[in-house]
Amino acid sequence: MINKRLSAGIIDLKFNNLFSIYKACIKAGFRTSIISTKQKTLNYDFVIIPGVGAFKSGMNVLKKNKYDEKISNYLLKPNSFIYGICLGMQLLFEKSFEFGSTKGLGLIKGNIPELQKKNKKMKTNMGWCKTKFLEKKSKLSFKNFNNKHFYFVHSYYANPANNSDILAKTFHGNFEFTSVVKKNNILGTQFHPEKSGNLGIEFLRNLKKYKN
Amino acid sequence: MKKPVRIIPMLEIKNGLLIKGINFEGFRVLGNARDFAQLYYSHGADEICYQDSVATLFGTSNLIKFVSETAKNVFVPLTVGGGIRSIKDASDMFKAGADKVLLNSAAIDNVKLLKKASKIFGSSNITIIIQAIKIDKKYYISKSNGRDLVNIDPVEWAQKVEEFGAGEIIITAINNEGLKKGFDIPLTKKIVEKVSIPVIAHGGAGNFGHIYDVIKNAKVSGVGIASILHYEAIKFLPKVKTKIGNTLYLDSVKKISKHLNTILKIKKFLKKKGVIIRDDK
Repeated sequence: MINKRLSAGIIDLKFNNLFSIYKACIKAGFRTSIISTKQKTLNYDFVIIPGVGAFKSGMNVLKKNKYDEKISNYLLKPNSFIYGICLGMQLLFEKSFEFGSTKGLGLIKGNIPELQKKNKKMKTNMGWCKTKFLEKKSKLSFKNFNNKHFYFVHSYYANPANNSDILAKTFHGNFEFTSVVKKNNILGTQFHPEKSGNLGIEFLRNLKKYKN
Repeated sequence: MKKPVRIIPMLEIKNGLLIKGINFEGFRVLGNARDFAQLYYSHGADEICYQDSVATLFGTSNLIKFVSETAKNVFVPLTVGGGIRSIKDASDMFKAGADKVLLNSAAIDNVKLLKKASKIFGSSNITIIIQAIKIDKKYYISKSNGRDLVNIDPVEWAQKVEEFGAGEIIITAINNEGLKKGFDIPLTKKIVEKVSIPVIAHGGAGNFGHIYDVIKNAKVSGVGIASILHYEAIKFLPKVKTKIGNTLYLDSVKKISKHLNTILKIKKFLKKKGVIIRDDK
């Protein structure tokens, strides 16, 4: 089945910029669709949770449309793969402190604190940052992306409870945060591949390699 | 660890056409905005900024169409401003493919809108553009691109918008805009020192030295560049057919067949001078 194009379904969080990730997935060669909220089961090679917006609004949309259940069921399937981008990655965690405290999907252990808590001057991380993949884990698939610039824009960051879920780290000023997480068939990047130029498209194109 | 300084082509658009005003008075038509955006993306722009100067007066419906056409092939952040006056306007813009929206007059008229927008869309996706004008040594800010003055000091305004949730500030020095004589470094520097969000300098880049000067002296996170890029790109991009605006300038441009990558040239120049830039292959 070498020539079969892989499918990517994108969850619509309502407020986010769906268009960019949609176009980027097409550019990267996926059979891409926006997941309809009416769909009861998710049948894709990749389910993408994109992310622009606030944690609480994102979580509300997920719950309202029963995505929490749908995602759990999807993850039970062999060969399933969830990829969360930026807010989409943060939603994978247990809890965020954005505007109060909000529960997340809880698929990865840890929480989402504010960057400001670390350094008031460093409230928002916006711009291109080098992403350092931890050697042991990035042995094959991520090698080409090590120490390259990806585009970040966020005021909160992922704080995974287990080191084993951390795949890459990035500096914001003097503060090093987790920029890529992976746990089994769940991947999350704080950066936006759809905004990271050709390198980002290449990252999406390589998603299939991250399935193991 | 320092981030690369972002090189941001600033495209002032009207009806999908790239225009270039001088001191915001009168403008020339330069071509199709999306041709320029596409070119700058392929040349390594770190971000692209669209500003629709007439949308403030006539609404955003036209702009949305051009944003979605542009976003199809541009995979770096696209910031869009002009005529965004409500949460719905902003939401429509994001849906069309904008990554960040620019607010100016709507935030001046009602700073609470800024707070609301930053809560709904996330602070980092809301950029405030400050149009500063200097008259007799006193600074003002402006709505509608310099057509009217508001008696607020740009530095104070910068601090206020940060407090109300802006994620980034573009500071346009109207007096310098389009004149190619360099940026307003003292004002830009003051704003950078007073706020903790990223500040982008815009207005006045006439040569590569000007870009370096504002990076070195004002410590900005990015630089918005228009004339330097547009007047080179116009030499090899297809000529536009339009009945709107002044196209006399276009007729006088001598076309060349070779693509000049001015963005790469700027980045190489800055790198030589020790500025961190993004040049991954």
